[in-house]
Amino acid sequence: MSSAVEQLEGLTAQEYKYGFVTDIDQETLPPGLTEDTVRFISAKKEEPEWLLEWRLKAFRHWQGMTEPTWPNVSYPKIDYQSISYYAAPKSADDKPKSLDEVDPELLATYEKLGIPLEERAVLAGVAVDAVFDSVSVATTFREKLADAGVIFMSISEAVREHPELVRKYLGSVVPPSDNFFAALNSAVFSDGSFVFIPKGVTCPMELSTYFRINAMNTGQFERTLIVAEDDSYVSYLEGCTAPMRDENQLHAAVVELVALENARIKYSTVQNWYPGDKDGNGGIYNFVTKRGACRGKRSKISWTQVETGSAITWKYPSCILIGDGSVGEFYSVAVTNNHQQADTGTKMIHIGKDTTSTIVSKGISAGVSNNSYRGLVKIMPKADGARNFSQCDSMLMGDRCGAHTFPYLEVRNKTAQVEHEATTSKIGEDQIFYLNQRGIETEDAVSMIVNGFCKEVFRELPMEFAVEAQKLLGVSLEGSVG
Amino acid sequence: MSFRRRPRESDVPAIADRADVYLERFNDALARSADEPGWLLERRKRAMERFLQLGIPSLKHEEYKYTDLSALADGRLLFATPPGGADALPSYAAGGASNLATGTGPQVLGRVPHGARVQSLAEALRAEPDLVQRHLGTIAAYDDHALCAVNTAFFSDATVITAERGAVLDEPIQLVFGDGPQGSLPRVLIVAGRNSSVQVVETYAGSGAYWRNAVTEIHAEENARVDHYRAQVESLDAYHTGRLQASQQRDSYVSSFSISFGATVARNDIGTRLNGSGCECSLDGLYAVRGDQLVDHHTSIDHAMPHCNSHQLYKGVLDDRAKGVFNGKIFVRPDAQKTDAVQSNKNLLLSDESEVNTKPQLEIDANDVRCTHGATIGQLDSEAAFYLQSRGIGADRARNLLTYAFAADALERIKVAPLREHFESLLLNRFASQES
Repeated sequence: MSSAVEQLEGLTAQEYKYGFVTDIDQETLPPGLTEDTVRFISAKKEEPEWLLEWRLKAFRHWQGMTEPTWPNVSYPKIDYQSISYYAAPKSADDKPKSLDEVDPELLATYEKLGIPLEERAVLAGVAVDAVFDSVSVATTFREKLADAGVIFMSISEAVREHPELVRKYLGSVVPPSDNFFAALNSAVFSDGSFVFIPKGVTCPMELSTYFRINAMNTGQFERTLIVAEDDSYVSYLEGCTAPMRDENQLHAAVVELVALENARIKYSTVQNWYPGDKDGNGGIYNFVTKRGACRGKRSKISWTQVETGSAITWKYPSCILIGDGSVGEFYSVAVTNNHQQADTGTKMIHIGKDTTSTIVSKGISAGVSNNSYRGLVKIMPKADGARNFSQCDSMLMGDRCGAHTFPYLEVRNKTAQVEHEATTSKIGEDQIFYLNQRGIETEDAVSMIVNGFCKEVFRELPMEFAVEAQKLLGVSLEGSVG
Repeated sequence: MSFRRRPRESDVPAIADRADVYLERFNDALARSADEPGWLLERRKRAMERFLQLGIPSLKHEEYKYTDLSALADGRLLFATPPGGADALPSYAAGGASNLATGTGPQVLGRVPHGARVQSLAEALRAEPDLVQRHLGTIAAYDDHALCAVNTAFFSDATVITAERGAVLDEPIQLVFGDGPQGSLPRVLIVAGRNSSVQVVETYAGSGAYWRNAVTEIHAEENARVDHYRAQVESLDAYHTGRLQASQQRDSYVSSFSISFGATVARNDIGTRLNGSGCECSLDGLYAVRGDQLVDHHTSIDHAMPHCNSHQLYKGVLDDRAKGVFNGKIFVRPDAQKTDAVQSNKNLLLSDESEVNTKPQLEIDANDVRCTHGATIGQLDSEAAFYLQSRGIGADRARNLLTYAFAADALERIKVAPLREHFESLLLNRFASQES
């Protein structure tokens, strides 16, 4: 075990790789949250009346709600009045028309993050709707997507250009009153992405948004809405890095997916926000509501996530399987280290007949971190022939970390087949010994075993992302291995 | 679209305005037990205080999310309607009856084996006051457990079973809780001395509508072995809530088997705390319910020390509109290295309207452990049923055979043969008349 300890020491000593602050003027709202804040944000974005009303309704509902205490995480109480709810790069008024017009400092930031916009766009063929704090600053490949009929833009643009679509679907999967953080998000969401794939279209490229929290003390409230019409397909990538800072930051995003008949949506996340230093100071609070509705027959929604960052992660990407024969999938790797806390999992609600869901969750805890899996599989009475398989494995590295499993299985139909398996283990000394005697160094052996442990999830990631995910896992756990 | 549970009447904080009955009765109870030692009265008062704060848990309480106990809030079922005598006791219990032993409380059936004592509370307080004070009401904590608090505040007599150091009892001690003055609030304390081995069978049976709220505490000294069986065949109109809590010293072994066939609503909390290294425990159970029955098992194994093993196997068969609830918690404390914990919950749904809610839960704070849990829910294999039918076995019988086969490996863990045989035959015929 000593090698693992050394590894952990090496890893705790490692500074956050992506910690830097970009020096750009920001137009920032002073801290505080009232109806006026909501009105300000709405006015700033020149939103129609209905959306303002929608926000205000959510805000009023939020005021009557209490912060949930059931997650297995602990943090000092958040003062929602000390957060600034709007920040936009100053150049927002005259939005750049092309990359040349983008603030060079911004571009430099992306360079440092290893996602040079133009290169990535050209080489990888990925359209990047980059969200720098709250306002979209660049969108590439829009023409190509437009040819295919795909709408991919920031949600504020979509409100202006496709109000009927936004109005139809916004809040239809995660209603504004759904939970405390979803209500907060509905009231003050700043920006996010909107994707619409029309009937019969296979999206010609993988869509990707890079989020980055940059301004001091600014909570970021992303709102993502993806609608896939009949027989369409889209793969969406989301990845995050954030600069180093001392104060905790609140991030409460909402992601809604709608899949109609035969549609398939693949949503992949790599999350590597600042987790706080090794003593548990600072770091992002990541309280996210993600939910997808399989409304059409034989539709499919697949969530894949690699969670390595954030001080606190509170996130349950879910699928509501309404259409007959629809499929929900959830693949997750969650790594916690030092003082990180993660309470993550999924909900699979089977409503339609012959619906199928698969859950594969891999939790790795190190240091004094706590990693919880919390999941719900619910088979409703009408869901004949529903099938679920769940597997939740935990790996513990270090003798002061915790792994917790809270699976809820609620079955109301006898034809359902539901299986849940979970194991908790550490890296076996015999496994390491075996690799040692084949001439593999202990450090390499540990990384090999960890990668093997996560393999089932990594292979679900799109090619471009799998590489990054492995790199991130490297940053989190194999940094000292070299 | 959101799927919230609609608020029900029972979400109303239960006790606040309906506590009067309990309070009134408590004063009576205090007057009755005026000659009890001071420490016991203190514990009763403290339990009452806690109960008044906690109230009968509502569906909003995470631990009672699926089990509606609102009918218990006004205390009527507890105080106004004592359990009636059962029509027939299970064969294993009725057959062996001979010299009844102690007390006003439960019937002790058969001979009390050599090396053991079965005493009423009053007798035990005279004979072994220190032992009773040390264990009664300290093993099953009532501070956060409303139902246990009710029992602690109100039980009028307790059965104290002690096994002498080194005594190996070859026959089980049988307790039958039927009607009788303290039928509603059974209380048992089992203390197994060093190197002793004891088997206890508790049977709960009655008739009519009532609430039986039982608490059993087990203390296993170093290297002791306790096999505990709990057979619940209550009236189908009854509420049964039971708590079994064990406290284990080094190298001890405790097994519990919970059979739940009766009651309209049955809730069992079964837990053990492994206080020394080298302990082993095994918590198993079988529930077979139909009609509108609900059966709820909550188990908890607290691995406080290293080098302990635990096993759990719970199997359930549900027919008609019956509901099954299982929640198994395994806690592994930071120092409990080399823990090996295995948990499994398997459910068989026989009808369209039956329902299962299961939650196998692991909370692990040590790294060098092996913990696994699994849960499955499914129906009978139609191919297996077809195979049996093709061999000339009727659909009805085939279904029963397969149901029996599903539950057999759990039943096999019962080591008391007459008990096992009784429930084997009961299960084999339980779902007989249901087939269309």
